[in-house]
Amino acid sequence: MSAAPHSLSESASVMRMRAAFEQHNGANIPLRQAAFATFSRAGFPTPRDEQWKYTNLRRLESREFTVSHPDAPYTSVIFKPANVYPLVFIDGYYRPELSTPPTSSAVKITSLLSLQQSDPQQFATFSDIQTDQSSSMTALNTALMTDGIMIEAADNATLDQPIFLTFLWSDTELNLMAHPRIVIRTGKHAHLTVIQHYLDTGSTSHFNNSVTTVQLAAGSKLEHCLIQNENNHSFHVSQIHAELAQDSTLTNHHFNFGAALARTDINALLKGPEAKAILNGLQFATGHQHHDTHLQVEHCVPHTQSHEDYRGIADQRGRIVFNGKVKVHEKAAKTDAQQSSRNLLLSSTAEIDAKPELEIYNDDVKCAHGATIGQLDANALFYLRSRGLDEQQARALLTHAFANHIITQVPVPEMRQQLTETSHVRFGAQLEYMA
Amino acid sequence: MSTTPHDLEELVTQKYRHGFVTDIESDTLAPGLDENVIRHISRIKKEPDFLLQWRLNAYRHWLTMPTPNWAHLKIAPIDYQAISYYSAPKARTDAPKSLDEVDPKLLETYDKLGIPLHERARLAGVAVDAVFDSVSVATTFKDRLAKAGVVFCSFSDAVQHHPELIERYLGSVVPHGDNYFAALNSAVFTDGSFVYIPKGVRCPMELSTYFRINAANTGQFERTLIIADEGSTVSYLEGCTAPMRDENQLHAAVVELVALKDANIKYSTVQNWYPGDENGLGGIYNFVTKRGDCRGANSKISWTQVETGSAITWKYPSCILTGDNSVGEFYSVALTNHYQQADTGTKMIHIGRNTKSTIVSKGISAGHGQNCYRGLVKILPGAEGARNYTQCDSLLMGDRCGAHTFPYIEVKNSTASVEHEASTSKISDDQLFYCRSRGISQEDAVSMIVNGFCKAVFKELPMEFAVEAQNLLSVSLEGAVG
Repeated sequence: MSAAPHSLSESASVMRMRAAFEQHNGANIPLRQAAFATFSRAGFPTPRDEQWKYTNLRRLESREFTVSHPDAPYTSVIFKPANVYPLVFIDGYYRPELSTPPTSSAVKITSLLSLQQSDPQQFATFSDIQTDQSSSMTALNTALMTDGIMIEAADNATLDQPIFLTFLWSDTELNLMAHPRIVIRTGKHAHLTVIQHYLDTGSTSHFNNSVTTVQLAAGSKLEHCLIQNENNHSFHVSQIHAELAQDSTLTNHHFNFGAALARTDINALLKGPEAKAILNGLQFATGHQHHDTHLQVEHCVPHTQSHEDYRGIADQRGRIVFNGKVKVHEKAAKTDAQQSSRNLLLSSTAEIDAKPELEIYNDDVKCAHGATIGQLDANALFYLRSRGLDEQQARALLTHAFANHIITQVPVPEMRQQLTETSHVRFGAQLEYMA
Repeated sequence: MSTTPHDLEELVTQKYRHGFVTDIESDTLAPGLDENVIRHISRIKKEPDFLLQWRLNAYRHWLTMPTPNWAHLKIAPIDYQAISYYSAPKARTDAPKSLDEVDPKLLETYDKLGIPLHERARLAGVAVDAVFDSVSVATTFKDRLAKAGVVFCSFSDAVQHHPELIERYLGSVVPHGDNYFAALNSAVFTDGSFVYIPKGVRCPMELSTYFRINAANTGQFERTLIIADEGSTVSYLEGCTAPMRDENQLHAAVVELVALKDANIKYSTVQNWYPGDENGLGGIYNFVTKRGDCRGANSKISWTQVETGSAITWKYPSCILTGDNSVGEFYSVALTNHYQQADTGTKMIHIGRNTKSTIVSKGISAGHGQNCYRGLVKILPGAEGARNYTQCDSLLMGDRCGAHTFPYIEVKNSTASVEHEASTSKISDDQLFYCRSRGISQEDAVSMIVNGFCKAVFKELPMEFAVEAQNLLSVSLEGAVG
């Protein structure tokens, strides 16, 4: 039996998702059924929804995506930096044979799909962060979850190398959809670095709807990178829901390079004193790309900090959307929240929409935000031209300098190198003289 | 001699100074709203047919619209059928030609408010088109203005004497279906002010209207239309006070400004309507649509507002910068105390080339007040070289109030430059301590710091208004700190 009664008003896109859900091997699990019911009630978000004012999923909804299958062949070389623990996902499924999980007993890695089969009771609790009510896309992920990884660090655990999650697509002509789920839980005073890397060098349009939940126990630290470099025909929706306990720190480095349409939601709840969220990000949209990032930081208790530094670059017909919301609850005195959003608009057919929001219910706080939208400095361009660079090189150099501010903050050197290269390719100029 | 507890209590719970009801016979329509009510209003006012049709179109459109709920406000449902849509002071066959003919009780009302028309108006060089409930009762300085060619009269008079201007400009900035409250206003507005400044004229004095809300259960729906023809300049002041009352009163005004080539309009508001008592009971609902259109090249529209009153303020004075090189400005101080709520801000729509806009917004929240800045800066693809600077600062007093900012920035031109900054702070203990150690009382110190916080806006106000605004802030904030 299906999870929710079939509604007559259900749109074609929701019906397609229902068909996918009904043939899913988890369709009889109550948790997934409830999640699908939530999704089918709400449907895909539309621009009428304030949170989706500038992003229309019509293009995504009009397409048909095939549910991906485990064990699809993958023959290409897998990019991974040296000195990491690579965990490889193909079409949204975890592939142990291609992965090298950490050997330390302090950090436990579990595949959610194998957990669903081996221990359904524990599986039912994998999502103990209440997220499904808040977003229909998260609910869709829970319902259709292909596979996922649970990373659990014991108290005081540290790893010598970062965990590198890479999400790739098999060589196929089919338009696939994947709903991977990442669960990160740290014990007290644990210290982890996790990189989530989405890469597609093909040209087939896929749909990735990924959800990451993060629970940081007291005193723990997580350095997290979310790097989205799908191909320019794909759709990418990803969400991070994080809860931070006392003295814990979440640092997130977020890069939106690829996809025709990419939407990222990062929600951080600061639930313990001295909890700190640092959210840095870079979005680069060119061609017909559409990049949308929504941040929401909630300061729930006194003495918490958040720091947001986002940059956006829109060229050609690209569109950048940034929404940063800081909410300070009534009791959250001594909150320190800083937010900055800087944007470069490089073409008259591009568009940037920024909305830095503050919602403050306490007087003893330090909150500030700044947003700018502008273009490359004409004087700097002239200077470089007078030194013999052509127009394109000069623009690429200045654009790269603007982006580099975010890239240099990434903690893994090899990742920085890779991001620099990606940004060079994306900026459309080979800067040989910089090598 | 010691003060009695009774005296103290009186001091602490200072009541709204301007709260009283004038006892005048009102010619009031029974509560309710349908097309007949609109026809009736139009008939009483002897309006031409185009205006009646316009009102009916607005009403029919209004019926199809949902009540807006996007603002950060808690609004008790409004029963539009419980409101009387027309109330005029006792009808006279002959309109008053001078102040002597005006009902003495009306003049007394203005005396209590501290604006004796016959004295202060002349001294201050201000022509007052006083709206008492819904019909203008006295208009002064008409001669001097007439000599300059300026038309400054009530909206009803303008409909009778300048229908061609009304037909041409009414609804050209705020169309009848613009939003829920503008549509309601377009259907049932009773009166308001009309200003026309001819080509090349610098208006010889500041124009001013004092609005009053009087008869019980009468929502006020004013309509203001200001047209500044090519090369003209005008400064317009609007100030408000209202009697005390326990029910929420609805006020949905529409203000339209049109600035043609090289024209300059400055519109200043001090709004001090009844904010409700310290428990959040009563108070005015103030849902206003204000918009200016810089239609010609090099034109300029500047909004300055000091919002201290009303239980709920829902107001976004906006500028449409159509003409090349046109300038839009918005300076605002909004204060919420007790259970007041304000959702206010501006929209700057850049259409023409080299258009500039400046937004300075200062929000002050105390008690359980919720203060919200909501703004839109939109740069359209044709707005080459457009420039915007936005600053919105919030000051919080106490841990039960709220300050929120919702700025929308939409840029579609790569030569545009947009800056937005916002900060939130409180009155720091250091600042207070410094003032106290210099012998300044707590209350004066708070008032001084708040006035300093608002200085960037106050300096944009005409002088008399700036003084009034400062006093208003001190009174509104009494008991908020300490």
